[in-house]
Amino acid sequence: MNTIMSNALKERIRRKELYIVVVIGVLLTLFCGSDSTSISINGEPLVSFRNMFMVMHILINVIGCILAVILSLRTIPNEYERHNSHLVWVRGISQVKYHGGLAAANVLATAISVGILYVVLAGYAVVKGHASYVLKMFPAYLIVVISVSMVSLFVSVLSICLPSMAVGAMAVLFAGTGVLHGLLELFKSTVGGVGGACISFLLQIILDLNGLQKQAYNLIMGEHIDAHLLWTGLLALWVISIGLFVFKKKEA
Amino acid sequence: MVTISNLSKSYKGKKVVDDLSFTMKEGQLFALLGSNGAGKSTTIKMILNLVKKDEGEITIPENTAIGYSPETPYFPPFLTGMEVLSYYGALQNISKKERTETGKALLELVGLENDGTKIKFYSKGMLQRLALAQALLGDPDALILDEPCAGLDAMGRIEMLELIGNLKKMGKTILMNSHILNDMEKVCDEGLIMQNGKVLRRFQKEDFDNGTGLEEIFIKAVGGNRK
Amino acid sequence: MKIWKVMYAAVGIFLAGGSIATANYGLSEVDRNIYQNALALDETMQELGFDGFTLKTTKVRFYDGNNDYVVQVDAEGRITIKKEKPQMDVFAGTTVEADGQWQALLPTYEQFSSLFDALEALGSYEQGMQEGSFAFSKSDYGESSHAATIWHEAFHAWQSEKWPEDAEALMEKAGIGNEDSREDIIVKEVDSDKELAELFNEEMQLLMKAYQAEGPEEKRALIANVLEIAEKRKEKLSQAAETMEYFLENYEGSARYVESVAYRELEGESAWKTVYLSEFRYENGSGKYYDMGMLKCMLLDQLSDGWQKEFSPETGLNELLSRM
Repeated sequence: MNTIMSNALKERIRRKELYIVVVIGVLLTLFCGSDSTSISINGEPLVSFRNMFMVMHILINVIGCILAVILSLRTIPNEYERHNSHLVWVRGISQVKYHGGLAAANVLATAISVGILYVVLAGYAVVKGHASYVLKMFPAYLIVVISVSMVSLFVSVLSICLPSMAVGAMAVLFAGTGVLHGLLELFKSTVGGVGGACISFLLQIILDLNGLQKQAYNLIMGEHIDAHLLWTGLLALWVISIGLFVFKKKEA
Repeated sequence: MVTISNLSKSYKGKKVVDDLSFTMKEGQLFALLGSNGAGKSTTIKMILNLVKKDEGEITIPENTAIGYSPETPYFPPFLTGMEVLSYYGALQNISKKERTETGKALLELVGLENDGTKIKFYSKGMLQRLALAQALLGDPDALILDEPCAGLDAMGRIEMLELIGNLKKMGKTILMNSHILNDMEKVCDEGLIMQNGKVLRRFQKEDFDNGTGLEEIFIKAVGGNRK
Repeated sequence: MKIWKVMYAAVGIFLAGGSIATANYGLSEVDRNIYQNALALDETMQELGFDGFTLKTTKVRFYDGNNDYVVQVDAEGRITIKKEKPQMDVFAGTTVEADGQWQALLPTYEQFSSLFDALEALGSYEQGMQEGSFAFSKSDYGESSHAATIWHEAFHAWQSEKWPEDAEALMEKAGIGNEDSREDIIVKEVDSDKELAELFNEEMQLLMKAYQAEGPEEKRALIANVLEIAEKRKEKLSQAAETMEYFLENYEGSARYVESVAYRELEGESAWKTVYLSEFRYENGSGKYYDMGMLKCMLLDQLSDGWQKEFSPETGLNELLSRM
């Protein structure tokens, strides 16, 4: 599995797709972080460091989830479309190991991309005179990785059996619900009826990815952390990974 | 060595392989001939368990290693030839040192340079050679070659056939599928001609050694007129 | 291979165990602590002087999105928590009449934090601050703020118990129906009138000067100016606007005052000044009346002992100030 994972990662790095998506993310993050292009709310600029840091942290989580979908959507389907899978199957590699290695590469690629964005955020903190945050950003990064890994693994697992369009739609629903958990909690009671019931159901089964990101932020700020969310996030990762054992291709 | 009995496969109700039986004898080259859509590739894929058979039995002796060279090989374009062999060698649990040594030797054997050229710059013929090289990793007992000469120029085909002949002499059991009947004539020991999933005719080397070419046998079997 | 499968399953069981062990059953530890911190201030808050105002007889409902956790102090002085069906979906503190009494109702701390996140995403938390829905910015809002909110809502519950029909009668008298938005009345009638806005701004500045002034005589002189301007403004206001201003300043302003006292006890003078005094300026919407009312209460604290006993819907803050 390590061989498959490292090969997929190597290819991704050499293909430079990682750099392109990360550059987009870095630009977006820097855009938000620059004083001259501060976000305005009701005409007033949102300039305080803490607020900007929080906004950028939320943005990194959102961009990370988007990157997770982009980087993970076609990896496994491409292997089968190009029949690369033939030369792997004939060598007696089980589907679990094969798909697992590819999924791991997806997760790692996503984590690396988010790591680069996190470095940018750390740079922002240092420039703004809050270098003390940098040390805490290491464990906080690991928490954010749980969030984006969940999206990456979810997409990877579904892509084994479902067409890309369907996987993409479900990924958007999954990641969207996750990052907008708080907003949807607000909406569910105002919407009511079938809509409200659907939203409630989704909120029950999909983890609060924004909440996870918030725990990372709380860790950096020295505030209270909800350990339950972290445990549940890791458990959700484990549950999604079971899909690697369940979903199998009938033919190479 | 490898025995196929009453093999059948259907896709959406249409039989693409119909009650196929043959035996690959040890140290011999068995040829699968037929027009496009005859069921040759599907047969190969069923033997390799890339596709599930509907009916029939495939008997392969235990611990028989099979190398496979696909018709249209795809390798990651950003790897070099050596890296491709190293990757597949690692999947076969070949040690790093052995992979390096074997990789160099195999590249040389199939006529490829170990110069760090990336796959994306490989010609079709080079890809075909690399496909054979990766099939030989781990020194398998049997080889399944799907159109190994496709895309090769005349010289390349001669070299490839010579190589296949040598592999046969080394005792490897080979199943080969090709459109180029003249090439098949030079290397195969026996074979069969398929059409619409069924066996039209079986042949032995002696059948076309006596002056009747394999092309004539094929045309007679398939029912076309020779121009 | 089997050993890997066993290890894999073991990881799952371990993670499931961790999730179960860390889950909140019932009211979270954080919210329990918040309540206890609020309750610890009960003696101090009773000393403010509002007759019969105590958290010990007020039920506090924490809404977590699915249930209400009703917290109260029983006859033996123990804190009890009971899970009940939610009275309503709330995103901020309010009061609700349940079981024949007025109770404070607010989201759990986690819910409230999520609200901030959501509103931040919508870009409207600043708006909420202007409307006076929150005194705090997100970065300031902590557990002490939530405890202070308990006191704010508990005070409203006390108001509703003590003067059960007065607020309603006030609105009825002014012809303000349930469907009328208080924000609309203030924004349309007060904020949109430049002269009224300028006068109110002047009032605010003088009131702050009075609060910061050293001697009582100077304070009284400034207060007299403030009341004069207030009268001048009244002439230009419709009855609805005037009533709404009165309601907001006296009902909400006094609750904001109680809340700020609680916050100061928990966080200290410096933090209290940052949160409650540094944002004292004219802003559109009802928020400014919360602050005005609060400052008037603080001014009364400086000039008089026991004004709280005289405070009522009939005797508003301006009337009390005029007696100083």
